[in-house]
Order: sequence, then C-alpha cells, then structure tokens
Amino acid sequence: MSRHKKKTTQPKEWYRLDNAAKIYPVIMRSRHGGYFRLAVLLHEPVDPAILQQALEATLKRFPFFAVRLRRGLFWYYLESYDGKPMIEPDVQNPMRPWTRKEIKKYLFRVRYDQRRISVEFFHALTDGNGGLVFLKTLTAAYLRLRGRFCGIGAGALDINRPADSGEMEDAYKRYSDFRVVHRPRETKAFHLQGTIMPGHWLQIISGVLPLDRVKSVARSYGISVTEFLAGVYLYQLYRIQQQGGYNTLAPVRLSIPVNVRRFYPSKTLRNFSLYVNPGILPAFGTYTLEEIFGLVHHFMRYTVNEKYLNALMCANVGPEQSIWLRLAPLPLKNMVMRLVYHFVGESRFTSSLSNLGPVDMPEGMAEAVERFEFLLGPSRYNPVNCAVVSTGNQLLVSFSSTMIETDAQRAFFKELVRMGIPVRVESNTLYPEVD
Amino acid sequence: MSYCVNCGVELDRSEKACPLCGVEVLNPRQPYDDQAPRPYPKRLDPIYARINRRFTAAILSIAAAFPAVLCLAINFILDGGLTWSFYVAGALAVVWVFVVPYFLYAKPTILKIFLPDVLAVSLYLLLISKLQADGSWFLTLAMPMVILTCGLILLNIVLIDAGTIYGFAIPASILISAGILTVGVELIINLELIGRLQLGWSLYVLIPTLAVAAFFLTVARRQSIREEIRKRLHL
Ligand SMILES: [Zn+2]
Repeated sequence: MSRHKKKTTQPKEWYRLDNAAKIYPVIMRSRHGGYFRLAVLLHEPVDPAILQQALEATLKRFPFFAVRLRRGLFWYYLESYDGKPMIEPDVQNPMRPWTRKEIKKYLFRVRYDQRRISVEFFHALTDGNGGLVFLKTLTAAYLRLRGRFCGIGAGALDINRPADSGEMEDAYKRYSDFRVVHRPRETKAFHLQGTIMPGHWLQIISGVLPLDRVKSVARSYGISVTEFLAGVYLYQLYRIQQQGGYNTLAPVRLSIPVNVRRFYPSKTLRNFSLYVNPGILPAFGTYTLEEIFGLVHHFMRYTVNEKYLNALMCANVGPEQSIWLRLAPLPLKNMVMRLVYHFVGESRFTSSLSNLGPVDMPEGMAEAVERFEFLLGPSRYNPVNCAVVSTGNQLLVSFSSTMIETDAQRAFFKELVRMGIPVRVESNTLYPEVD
Repeated sequence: MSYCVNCGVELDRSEKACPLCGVEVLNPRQPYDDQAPRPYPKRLDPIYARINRRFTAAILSIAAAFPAVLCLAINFILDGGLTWSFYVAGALAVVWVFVVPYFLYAKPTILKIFLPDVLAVSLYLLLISKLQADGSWFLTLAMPMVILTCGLILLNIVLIDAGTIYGFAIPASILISAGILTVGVELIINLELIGRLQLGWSLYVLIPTLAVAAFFLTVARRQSIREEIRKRLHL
C-alpha cells in the first residue's frame, strides 16, 4: 500500500531537450515542425492486440520516450507521462501535424495496417537512428509475442533490462569540446515552388531500387550510394532551376544528416545527428552530372569526419550556453529562434536527403521482415524532401512533398532509369472511387 | 508488371496512374486492381486546421464583445441611457468585421473580405450621423467619400490581382488613384461647403502624383517602346 502511495506522490521525471531538439517545438507552431516516420513491412498480417501489448512492454524500456512536451519559463522540456500509449490504424495521409492536444500526450504515434507497423516521431524526441532502435525493439517484442524467435542486438534492445542513463544523454553537450567553432557561411539557396497541397496533405512517392545495381553504378563513378543519390538529385534540381523560370544563379544545396554516433562512443537515443550541406553554385558556370558527383564526393570527404563535425557541433551548442539566451523568457526565445531558423536554417538548402543506410537486424527478424520504410515530414520552406533506407537488396527512396507538382521526383527517377537502374514506384495518391 | 510509358518506371499494382506524371496505366494483360495491397490504406486522418481558425475567431469575438458590453453597461448605469457607448461599441464592431472574416473563410477572396469592411464602415458612419443632432452630412459628405475611396481601392485590388496591372505599373496605378481621390475629396467638400464644384489645393497633389506615375509608366513600358522603335526603324 505504502509503495503504491509513494508512486503517486513521486515527482515526475523530466528531461531537458537536447541541443538539436530545441528548435522543433519552436517551429512546430507553423505546423511544419520536424516529424519523420519509420515503418516495417512484415511478411504476415499485423495483429493489433499483440502490437498493443508489445508497445506497452517496449515503452517501459524507453522511459525517455514516454514523455510529453511542456513549457517552462525559460525552455521547453519533456515530462514523463504515464497515460496508456495507444496504437491506431494507419492512414493515407501520414504525418498530420501534431495538434496542441496531442503534444500533451505522446510525441510519437504507432500505427498499423495489414502487414505494416509504422511509428511517426516528433523530432524533439529523437532522430532517425534513435527512432530505428525503438522500431526494431518494438518489432522484436511483437514478433516474440507472436511466438516467433527473435534475438536482441543489432539495434533491438532487451526490453527486460532497465534503461541506461547514457541512452538519454545530450550527446551534443557531452562531446563538443570547443577546440574550434565552425559555422559554414552559406547564402540563401534555390527553393522549389509550386501549388501547395490542400489540407496539409503530404504527397508521398517512393521508388524501390535494387541496392546491388545502385551500388555498382555508384562504384563506377567511385562514390558511395548516398553521394550518388545526392548527386543525381542535385543535378535534377539544378536542371529544374535552369529551365523553370527560377533565379538561375542561386546555389542548389542539399542538407544531408550525418549520424554522429559513428564518431563517439555515445549510446544516446535522443538526437545526435549533424547536417552537412553539399551543393553547387550555378553562378560559377554550367555543371555536368559527373562534376556534381565529384563535388559531392569531395565535400562529403571534407566534412564527414570527427574534427569538422565537432566544430559544427560547437557552433550549435555555443549559443545555447550563452547566459543571455538562457535567461531570456521562453516567448522571447521562441521569437529569436524562429528568426534565426528563418535566416540560417532551412533557407540555406533546397531539399533534405536523409539516408539511414542498410538496416541490420537481430537474429530471426530478417525472416519476418520484408523491408523498412523511412519518410521525412513536411518542412516550412522546402516543399520536397527525400528519405532513403535499405533492407537486404531493396533500396527505398521516398519523397514527401507538400506541393502538387512532381517535377523533381519524376526527373530523379527518370534519371535513374536512364542509368539502367530499374525503379518501381508506389505512392499515397488519392484515386477517386469508381463505381 | 506495368510500366509508365512516359517515365519508364515500373508501377506498383496499387497505382492506377503514374504518380510521377499522371499518365494512366493501360495494360490489357494486367488492368488496375482496386484490391491490390496499398502502401497506405484508404483511411484518412482528419485535419483540424479549420477548427483552430474558428477557435481563433471565437476568441477574437469574445475579446471584442467584452469591452463593448462593458461600455454599454457603464453608460447605462451612469447616464441612465445609451449615448457615448454607441461610438465604442460601433468601433469595436467595425474592427470585428475587419479582422474576423479572415479566420472564418477557408479560402478568403478579396470580395469576401473587402465588401463587408465597406459595409461596416458605412454603417458606423450612419450610426454616428444618427447620434448627432444634424446628421445630414452622412449622405452629402460621408457616403460619397466612402464610395469613392473604396471604389478606387477595389479597382486597384481587382486589376492587380487579375494581373492586368503588374510590375512598375502598380505604383503608377496607386499614385493615379491617390491623385483622383484627392481631387474627388475636394470636390465633395466644396460641394458641401460652398455649393459648387471648384478645384483648388487638390491640384497641387494631383500634378506631382501624375508626374511620378508617368515616370513609373514609362519605365514599365520601356521594353515595349524599344520594341516599337526597332520594329519601325530597322534597317
Ligand atoms: Zn509517368
């Protein structure tokens, strides 16, 4: 009895937002705040009752995901929330903006449809890699409850063990060493324009590609898969810019998140990604696809290393430690952050390309899984964004777009077909019912 | 397996048309199957955007109604009747008409927003004229001015919105309208005060606005002037 009483009077656990997460509640108000979606397509139909059970069991292992967003006087923070997490049926228009009411519950949505389990995350909670750990742990728990064998490891956590405090650390703060601060000087980039989809509809067009084929074509240019996809995408955006009545001199730039866990021994399941923005400057002259491949390749070599990334990280963490910014009340901070985001955030790149890479799975999971899926949510200034993930030999490239025009997506996939890579396309297009 | 003849990509069984270009799939061997497994089910997630706008409209209405009711009450208690509080309540009603319709329409158009504003201003002026002993100025001064001003604004908005006026012609059109408005205002005032149409000070406004407008129009037409000269004088 006393134990029960103690439990109810205990102060609620709370967590600070990590450095990258701080911006998301601020931009959320424009209904374009950072969301992303991870899904797993199984071979067998999903049993909702068992999935519900698996979710409840999994969430106990992720106490820092069982939170809601609250406003403090100076900062937003995450407060632990013990309401029952509910699964919901999947929809044709995923990643609907979180409403004010929903923010007060969980910052993720677990959905199911036929053979698919999907989780939509609010970026303040975690990044793609943290989200993938959650999805894999959930899938493993689900499969085990279905009576299948599924091991742990390869990103699927043991739900019978308590959470590790290292999993909830702000790794940015911990690892930025302030040897040097580097803030890349970038001017406003080219932006696609078009007709905005009505009703916050997010148009999703995905292409399924054979990974081995993509790899061999990329290798023939001496570059990695991410660099190859980024190069093709940049080239097509550049061609649209040159032909589409846009300012033909504005830089065309992509934002590519880098998983910084690769460089530090952090176990964190919160945000720990940094963004590098390769691009081309059409003012310098005409570019060929091969030249763009070279530029992207060398840019990635120059930036994706521990020293450069640490300098970037320090530039992000630095302002957060300024006593003046910290003392500013939250509404004022929101105004400042929204302005900063407007000028140096999304306006500096044309589109995002996020590659989670090949997903590895624990023993027993691969037999039950057809593929993983990854989607980026809508963003404020860039109507089209691209998310990439691969499972086995299936490379899935998903474009999510807030506008009706599909020029960029079409040019991208057509270019791949031209290079001899077969593409199978699927979408969430709403076809009118025929009777 | 169906391929888009336009894009060269293979289409998933669930696609009725190519999502990239909209060209419909016409494969006699494999017609579109409505029952094919879809990557996203047909269920739609409701969007709450409208509700939030309505909520904002409700909040604004309450914020406007509260001081209005308060003033009417104070006026009634202190003076035993409603006198000055009508000015306050009327002004708040005008503000309400200016702001709230914007939140009520899903697709606000110029006419839907602008015409209620004109009506509200006219009614407010009528209210003031009725509250005064001699309210004859409403018909002779207020209404002509409201009609003239709103007519000019509406004309500009419609022409700019339709793309008839664009680029440097926009400031020219606004300046010409301002000039006409000044002249019109003086004529209306003179008709009321001295009983005849006479022009004086407004010409000092009209002439500079026309001069600057002419400059803008020349700049706007520069391209076409050059073309015209080339066409007629080419060797
Ligand atoms: Zn097509």
